[in-house]
Amino acid sequence: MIDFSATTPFRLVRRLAAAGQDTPSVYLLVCEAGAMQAVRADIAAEVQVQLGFNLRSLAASEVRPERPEEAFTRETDRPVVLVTLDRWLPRLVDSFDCNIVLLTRAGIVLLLASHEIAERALAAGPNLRNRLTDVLLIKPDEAFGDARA
Amino acid sequence: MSIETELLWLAREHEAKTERALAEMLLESPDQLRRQLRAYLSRQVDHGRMERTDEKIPQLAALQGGLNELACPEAKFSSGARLEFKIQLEEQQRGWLVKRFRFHVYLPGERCIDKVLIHLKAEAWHDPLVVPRCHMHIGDSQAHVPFPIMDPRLILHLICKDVEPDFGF
Repeated sequence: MIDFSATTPFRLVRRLAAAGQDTPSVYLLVCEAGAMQAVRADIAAEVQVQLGFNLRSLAASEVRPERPEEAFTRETDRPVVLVTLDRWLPRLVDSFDCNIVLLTRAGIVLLLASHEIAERALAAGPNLRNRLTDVLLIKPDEAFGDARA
Repeated sequence: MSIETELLWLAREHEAKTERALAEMLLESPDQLRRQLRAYLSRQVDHGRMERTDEKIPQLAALQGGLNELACPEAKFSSGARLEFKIQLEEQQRGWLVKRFRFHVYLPGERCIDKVLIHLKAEAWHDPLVVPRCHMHIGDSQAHVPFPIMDPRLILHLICKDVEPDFGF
């Protein structure tokens, strides 16, 4: 298993804010399968608080491999797109790989996946791998000891 | 009406306005406020006004009685000043209300004022002429100077923008 730099939704969105929302970037975010929902909620909350936008969040099954432009057309009021790769969809990864320019023009694209799916995507998508801004291991806030209501 | 009675009446009117302002200051959730305050503190770090803060600050905890508390045990300004705060929130049907807070700013030794304390008491005091529910202490003064009700984010901003950089020179 590859070791990736660790981050939190807070730190990730801080990084996006520092880079500026006009800086196109594609991140592969790796997290424990059981933490995906919490990570997604944290990212949505941090994007809203730090960037002032609503997050565009899509499940992998909502992205049609033959029509990636539907998911990655840049929206000025929602410039951050999060796609959760909650299962292995080789056609979708292949579509990302073939349409990597589309992804990099979409604004800020966050791909959230489990370790297993992330590694399969990295192996199956050489263009995607080469154009990723970073691959980060992401944990929800709770994992860092925050008490929650 | 005697002057004393009139002053007490005016102070009670002021307290009533305080209560109304608090009742109208609905917050989305303690977690949302936690994220907003954390983002603001990190912005101060980016601008060089504060030393790096722990990203777990403010800490959120559930207290007895359905209260939630946001606590910042310490944040250090680049000047050497320190900030501590605690904010207690109570859930109501309409949303979350601020029940109590304290913001403590400890200024560096070279300033002629050593601290500024801003408090919202959990309940109104029986004599609002002496202790208004929301008040400020400057230095070691025992005086309870009335302080306006405002969103905790605004208080933090006021501290970072005016109190810390400007008080006590």
